[in-house]
Amino acid sequence: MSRRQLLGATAAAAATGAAAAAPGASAATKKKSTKLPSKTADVIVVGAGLAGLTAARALTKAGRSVIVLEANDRVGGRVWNHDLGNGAVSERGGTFVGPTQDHIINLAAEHGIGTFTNIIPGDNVYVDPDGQRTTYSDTGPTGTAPLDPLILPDLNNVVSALDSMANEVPVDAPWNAPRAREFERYTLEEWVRQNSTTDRFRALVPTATRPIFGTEPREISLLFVLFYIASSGDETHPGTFERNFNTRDGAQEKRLAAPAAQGLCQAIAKSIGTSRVLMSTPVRRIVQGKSIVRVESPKLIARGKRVIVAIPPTSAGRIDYDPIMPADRDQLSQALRQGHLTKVACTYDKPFWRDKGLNGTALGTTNDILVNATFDDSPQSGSPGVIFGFVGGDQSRRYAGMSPADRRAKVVSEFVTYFGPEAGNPTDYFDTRWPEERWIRGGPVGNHGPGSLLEYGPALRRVIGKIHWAGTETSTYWNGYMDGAVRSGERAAKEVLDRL
Amino acid sequence: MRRLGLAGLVLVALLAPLPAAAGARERWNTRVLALVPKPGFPAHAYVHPNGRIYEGTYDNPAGDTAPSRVFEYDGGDGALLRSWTVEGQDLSQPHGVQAATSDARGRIVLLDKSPPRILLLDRGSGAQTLYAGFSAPSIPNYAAWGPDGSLYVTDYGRPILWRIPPGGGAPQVWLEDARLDGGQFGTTGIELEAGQASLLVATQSSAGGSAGNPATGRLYRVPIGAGGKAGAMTQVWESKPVDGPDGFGIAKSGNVYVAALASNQLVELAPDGHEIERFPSGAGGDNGSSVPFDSPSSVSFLGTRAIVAQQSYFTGDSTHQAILDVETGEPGLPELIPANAGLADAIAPRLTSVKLDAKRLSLKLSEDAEVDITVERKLGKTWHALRRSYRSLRAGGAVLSLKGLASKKTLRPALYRVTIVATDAAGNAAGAVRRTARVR
Repeated sequence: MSRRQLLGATAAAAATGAAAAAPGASAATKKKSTKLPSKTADVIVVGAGLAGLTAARALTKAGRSVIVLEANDRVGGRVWNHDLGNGAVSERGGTFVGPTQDHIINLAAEHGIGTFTNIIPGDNVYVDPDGQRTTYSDTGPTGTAPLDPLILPDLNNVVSALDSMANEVPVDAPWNAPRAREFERYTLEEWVRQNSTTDRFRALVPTATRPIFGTEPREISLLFVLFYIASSGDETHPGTFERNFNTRDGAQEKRLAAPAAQGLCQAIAKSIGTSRVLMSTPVRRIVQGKSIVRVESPKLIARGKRVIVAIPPTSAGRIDYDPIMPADRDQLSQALRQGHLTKVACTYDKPFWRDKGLNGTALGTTNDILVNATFDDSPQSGSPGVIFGFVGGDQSRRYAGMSPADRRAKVVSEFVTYFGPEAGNPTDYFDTRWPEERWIRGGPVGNHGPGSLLEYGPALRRVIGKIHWAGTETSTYWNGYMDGAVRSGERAAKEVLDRL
Repeated sequence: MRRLGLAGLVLVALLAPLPAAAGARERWNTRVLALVPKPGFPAHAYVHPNGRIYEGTYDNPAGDTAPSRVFEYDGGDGALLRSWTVEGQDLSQPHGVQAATSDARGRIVLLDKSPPRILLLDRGSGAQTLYAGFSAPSIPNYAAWGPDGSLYVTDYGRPILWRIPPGGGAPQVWLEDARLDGGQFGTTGIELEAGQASLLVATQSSAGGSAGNPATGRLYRVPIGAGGKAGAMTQVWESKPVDGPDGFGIAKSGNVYVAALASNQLVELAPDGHEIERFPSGAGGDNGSSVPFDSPSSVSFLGTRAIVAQQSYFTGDSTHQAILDVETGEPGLPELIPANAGLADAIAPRLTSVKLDAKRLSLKLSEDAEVDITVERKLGKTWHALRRSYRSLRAGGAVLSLKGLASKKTLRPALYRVTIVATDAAGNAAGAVRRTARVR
């Protein structure tokens, strides 16, 4: 099995504000009358994450004027760097790239940002449900998944079945899958319960869903999981669970070299023009007129012929629309809940685990463990040493309720379990609690529970008047990943160009 | 194509990444642009003037109840952009659509098998409107525009070339000829030639028995004669037995590239019909890419690239249901899409007697239209927009208040300018008309 990335992916940023804030905004607008600055462009893009900036870049290259409104005080959305000094960074959000993710890789390359391998010599660590620690090579038949003989039959059967069923699911319209209704009746947890034999294997399943989705298996529908697997490929390579989960030949195979994904966003924003990419400008309201769309924020009014909303659907649902959104679009934004994911990291003087024959990847499946998966996040130079871990779903909710000191102590103790006593003295500890990020409210991706994708999926990309939708949740391939975000921006830009 | 009762070849190949785009490709270099998602069985990859590729899913011979889909791909990297589900199909019958061409508005012309009909797909709204309907046993198969906006349609089920009059409506028998009778394997591709005075038409077989060897397909030339009538049909090429000619594309040179569905080859013909080359030269369909030819069924040019849809019709191997990109080394003939293609009304409204004074704007319209009116005021050397508004006006004369148009209770003394654009219900827009007047 393997691992996964995480905050994977994505990128749509956030540029929305809670509808509850609207009265205040209205008051401010009223007070200042028409004094708010006004800007006009062909297209207004809401959100300066990878999706929005990719769209803005494509439109600019096509000769159209754009204004990008970003709620946060930084670009990047769900990609965000933590500065390690000396030009090195650790990624708080989207981190990995892999085969068939050519859209993000090519975009980065066009901005002088290459990739480097995440395949580090050494073994993976596995802590089984009984708390027993073993090591294994990910070059074996299970890939990143633990080489645990007690789970192998279930692992093989379940992965084979998931891949086979995913092959029935069209990535452009999973709701059209011949057995969509049947798949939608199950949560992943229930389907696994009926199609596996051991609790030991079942304990492994949250270890996958927490990093991948930021959820528990009970929270996501089987149809959504199958779509996610089908999405883990491209137009010439059907998606597979293995490509999603593995490091070797999988979505965690490489990383973007510094300045990494947020540096890429900064480079794109710079190429568009800093006067065209406006920070700290949350969009509160979008008013569609007959020929012009007015996009209102407390700081300015932007007018354009078209709007691309490139933020997570749940954030998009907090914008006040006039006229109001059709019911299915609004229901979609109500149903598509962001994952509950926290990313934790420890830095060390050097990646000591490598000297011990470990590659930094660990999987833990005991009930009380918070960090179910870790990766070596050291810079390309190898210094300092960085391990990051995913805390997702129930564990992320538990983590949120702990004191800062307890969080650190618990995570460090788990790193000691995985990698030995040297892990007990990090030089730094930092976390990124995505559900608490004001403009994003969770990650790595918006998740569909039973019924959501079937009933409201068709509204994901449907153009509403002059409003187009981007963001990784709208992507056909690599939905939930940085590549999906870039793809969605490219697609939205083409949609708009068709109409200008 | 479809329905050849011939065994197909299946080669299992592992998928491989696209080769690097940089550098010139050798002639016949083939790569996989995209695998076509379910329900699969792509029959005709249409290259739109916007450079994108539109692919409909066709008939699954094993039967299915999934409505057909239309996919939009980027013509460069093959990225899947959008998709639409075809509405109103009879799913109890074999069904499928071919994206045959596009109209003057960019809408995709879909030829549907069940019910037999032609739809126009609006890519922006997703709206699907009926352009023409047929009755059984007709199977509209391929289509090409004539210079006057007529749409010529081949019929896989009957030996008829249909003509849909400009703007759509009831199909008219343009040519009925026993040589087009292929029994179950009837008339396939159709393209307008460079001189815009003749059509090339392919047949998949001569199973109807009127053209000679029933196992061979043929390419015919049909002149568009005086008054738009069909001229005498002449044979250009006869295929080898069991080639199963399907769709084809025409190069600027006049060479014709035919998808031979049953022999798994592309056949290159000179303008006079003699065979220049077959790719691949042997049997088996090995084209050097990770997906071998497995019932290739159409050729559309994108620059010098032949975009080939293939169905894997006989075996239904979904890993072979793909859009392939074959370098031909020569540019394709640009498709003719007349200015009135697909439009019932291609005439823009006429704006006449447009007058502006300090109080009112008066004008005459030749038909009902939505009028886009922008009022500007000159301050110093610069025009400043005051207001843009829309009015739905009836045909005939209209008088509008300048104050109302500017949304002002009073008009400051200045020079005013009004720009008017009228658009009728069919979307035809007249050129902008501009008038100025001074308010004192």
